[in-house]
Amino acid sequence: MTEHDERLSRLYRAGPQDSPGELADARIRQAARAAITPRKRRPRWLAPLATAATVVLAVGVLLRVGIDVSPHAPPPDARSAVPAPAPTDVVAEPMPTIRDEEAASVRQEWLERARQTEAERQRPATVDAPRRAAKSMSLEAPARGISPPGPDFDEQRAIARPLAAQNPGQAFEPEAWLALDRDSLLARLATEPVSVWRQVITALHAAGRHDDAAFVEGRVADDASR
Amino acid sequence: MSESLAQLWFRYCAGDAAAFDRVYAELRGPLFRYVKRQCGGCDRSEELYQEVWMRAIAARASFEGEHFRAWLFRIAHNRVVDFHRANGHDVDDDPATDLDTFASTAARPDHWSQLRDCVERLFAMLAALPLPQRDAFLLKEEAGLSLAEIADAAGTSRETVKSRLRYAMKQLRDGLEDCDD
Repeated sequence: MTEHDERLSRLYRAGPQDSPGELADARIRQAARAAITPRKRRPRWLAPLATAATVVLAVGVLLRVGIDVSPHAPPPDARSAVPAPAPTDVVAEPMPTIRDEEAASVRQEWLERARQTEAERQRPATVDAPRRAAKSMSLEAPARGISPPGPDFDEQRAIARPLAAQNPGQAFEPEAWLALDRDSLLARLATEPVSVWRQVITALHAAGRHDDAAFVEGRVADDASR
Repeated sequence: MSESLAQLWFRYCAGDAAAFDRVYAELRGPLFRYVKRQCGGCDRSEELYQEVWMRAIAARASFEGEHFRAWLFRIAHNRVVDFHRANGHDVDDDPATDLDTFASTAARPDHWSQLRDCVERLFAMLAALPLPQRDAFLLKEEAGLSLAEIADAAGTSRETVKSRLRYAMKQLRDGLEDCDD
């Protein structure tokens, strides 16, 4: 007895030669090809590039809309609603807003005008007194809805007031008027009411300055005729 | 000189799909018949056959030997054994099969026309063999493996394979006594 029998082998080979179906063949061949086909990979630099582009875009948008990204800056909503008190240990100064710049510009304009007016006031009070007084009276705050700041404004308003109106409760003092010459008298009287004019004329007559009194009366008559 | 199956498989592993086609064309019939006859006529033979190739493709890089046919049929053997175990079949060696019982259940020779009847009877007896004996017979006849290669594929010793084959031959031969060449 042996493990090999040629007769059995021939009989076996004479049997049906079964084979797999075409579908099974196709699936197996497809799987074999798929196993050795390298998968398409995304380039390695694609992910870092996308991240960098996103960061750049985000920073650009933040700068564009004007949001302060400094670590000491308050949140944008809080900044726009209520101005926060200045901290004592401020490291980064907040960027000036448009309203801050406008206020600074107005203040600078007022200071400039005040300096000019002060220089004119310190000049001898002669022929340009009425012009200076008129100029001072026409000085108004710019129509920007912003109040002029500080003591400079009050000083200018005081300069612009008439001489008698500076002390409304004070009595008429003829000596102050008699110390002026004819031109200075006219300059000062230009901003005074008619009652003051009459008191000045009376004082001039009393002081024997009849020519000056007649001159002032003539100017009163001219103003009245206009 | 044509390339061996092992060389073709190495070329396939290197990315040559055409090499796989040549391997497949040579082994598709024997492997399918092995699986189908080991399956015992079950309706899952084609599914099992595909699974064997899928396993071979997945484990293609693990082939390092020279005899590719033995490597592939070892995969098929393991898959068949798994299938029978999952279905509660006896996959252990069972040499106590009663030859007389087997012979008595076989169809009588006078009912078979000469060659065709003998072949059909052979396959009927083959299907009735214990699984290890049938496995050894099929690995020899279909895959053309040597005793050592069958032992390697079946995970047993060469002597055990030799015994199984001898026992299978005896049963088949006894059942085909009236079949002459």
